[in-house]
Amino acid sequence: MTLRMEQVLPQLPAVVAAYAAGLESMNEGLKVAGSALSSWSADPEGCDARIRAAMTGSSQPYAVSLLEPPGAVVPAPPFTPVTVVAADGSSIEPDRFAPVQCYVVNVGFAVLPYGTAHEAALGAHCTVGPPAPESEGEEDAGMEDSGPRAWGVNLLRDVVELETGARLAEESAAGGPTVLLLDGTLLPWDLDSRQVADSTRRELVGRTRLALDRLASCPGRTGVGAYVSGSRSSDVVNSLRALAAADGMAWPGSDGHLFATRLRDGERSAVFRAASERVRRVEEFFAGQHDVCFFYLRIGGDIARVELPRWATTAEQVARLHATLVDQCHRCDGYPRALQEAHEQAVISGGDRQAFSRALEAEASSHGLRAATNSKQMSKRRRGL
Amino acid sequence: MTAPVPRVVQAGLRTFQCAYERYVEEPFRLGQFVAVREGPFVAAGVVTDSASGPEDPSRPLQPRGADGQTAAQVMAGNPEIRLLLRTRVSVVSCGYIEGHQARASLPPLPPPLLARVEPATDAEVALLTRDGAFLALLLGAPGCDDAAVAAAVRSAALAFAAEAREFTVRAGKELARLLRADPARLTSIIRGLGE
Repeated sequence: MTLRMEQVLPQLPAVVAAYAAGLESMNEGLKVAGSALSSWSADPEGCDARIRAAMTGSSQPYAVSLLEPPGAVVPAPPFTPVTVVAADGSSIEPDRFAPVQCYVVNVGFAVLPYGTAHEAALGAHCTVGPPAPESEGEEDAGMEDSGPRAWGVNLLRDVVELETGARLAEESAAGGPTVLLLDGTLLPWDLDSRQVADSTRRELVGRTRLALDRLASCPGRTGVGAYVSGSRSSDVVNSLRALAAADGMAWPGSDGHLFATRLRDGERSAVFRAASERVRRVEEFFAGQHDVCFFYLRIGGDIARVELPRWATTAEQVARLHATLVDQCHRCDGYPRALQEAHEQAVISGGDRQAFSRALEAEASSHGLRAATNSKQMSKRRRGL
Repeated sequence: MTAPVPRVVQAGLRTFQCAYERYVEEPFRLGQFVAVREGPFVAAGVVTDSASGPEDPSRPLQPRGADGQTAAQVMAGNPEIRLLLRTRVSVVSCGYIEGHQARASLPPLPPPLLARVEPATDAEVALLTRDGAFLALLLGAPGCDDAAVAAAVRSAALAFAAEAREFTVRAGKELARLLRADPARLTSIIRGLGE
């Protein structure tokens, strides 16, 4: 049976109307938030202190000021020659109905020179796992393994993306100005997932730190930006709520709502530093020079959040990143071209997934391994009357 | 920078297709003689078509570039494009060379997939085309139109240097013999020889 549209359509108007009413009710909150932002710009240190006080006992994410007045709006600087490096990944999760539990991580990359002497490159590299225990080099590897979820495939994918980007950026930076773009957040958020085995977490925290260190030591002050299109983060509006003491008022639901009213096409916000007192935070693993900072960037109707490590927040690095992102987005209908091409290299199509599944079954079969019959799966395949 | 070398991506006895790793502005020319030297013999063919476009048909090429920009400038400003495009060349078999013996007939085997496709040398072209027997293969090959046959004769004539005119006359006579039942096609090809 297909979706009963005659049941769906009558319910839609109420949902949309409620959302529109919610947006309208935010208008007063947006005005108050704007005033609070002005106050914050006038007294960054004093307001930061008030925000830190509000953070106590809260698990909410907040933002504190960094070097610029929090209310600053910065137009895009002129574009200068740069090599843009990007990495993005895709994966095949272990199939619990397969004869052998196995995953694939495929990380695509793009190296695109704009006025620099670098050679353009597109490609991908894939890893099949889990690795054999002896290749882990740890005696207790697998001891606490509670199944494929503990392998942290998504986490591994994020880490390999960062490693790939760091390696390519390092190579590129030796030859000229370079900006590395990543898709999503700067730090792999699954690092604090309780499902990931501790041994895996330890290993991947180490690899993430190494990749970040490698980036930080690149010559020529390489720019780094992790790009979150249509971000729904709320660090800044949480901080503004603390400053405005606006309890009970309909408050902007995300930083995107706030900055959509303040930024014009190509403009960015001030650079903020992420702050939170939530326990088991991913940032705790990388405190110090790799602290997560961010700004918002308007491209057309999209408010993107751009995360960068603290060491990459010099005026020169931020200006190059800002100009590069605006140029990249104008080349690709509002999304960075290099990320789009890295994504295209990473995509695992439906056909590829089926081919992998067949290859895995054939390999397993050569070892006398067959998938256990699963009634639910069989029934979905049959679908007979 | 070394010239890109295309490789066989589709192989048959009568025709094969080769592709460059990426887009090239100047692939093998129409009528050019090419050779595949990997395998038990040298497989020879004539270029009958070439085409360039996106490797992924679901990502059609958009007409980018500002007014006044040349193709080279647009390519330089969009460095990923060249990597996503591909140039393919279609080739019709026109014989093969085993040792020093040239045969103007279908090769016993198709060229190996992924083998390098290179320009045939003047000596190879002269050996394959001297008696005009290669023309029968071309005329009977699917996809080898009048323009391709005429271009092949013009291309082969270059291998004969000072004897180019004599070769062209011989080829014209052979064409007249093969196409005596099809004067319209003969006329079309003969006109093409003078281009």
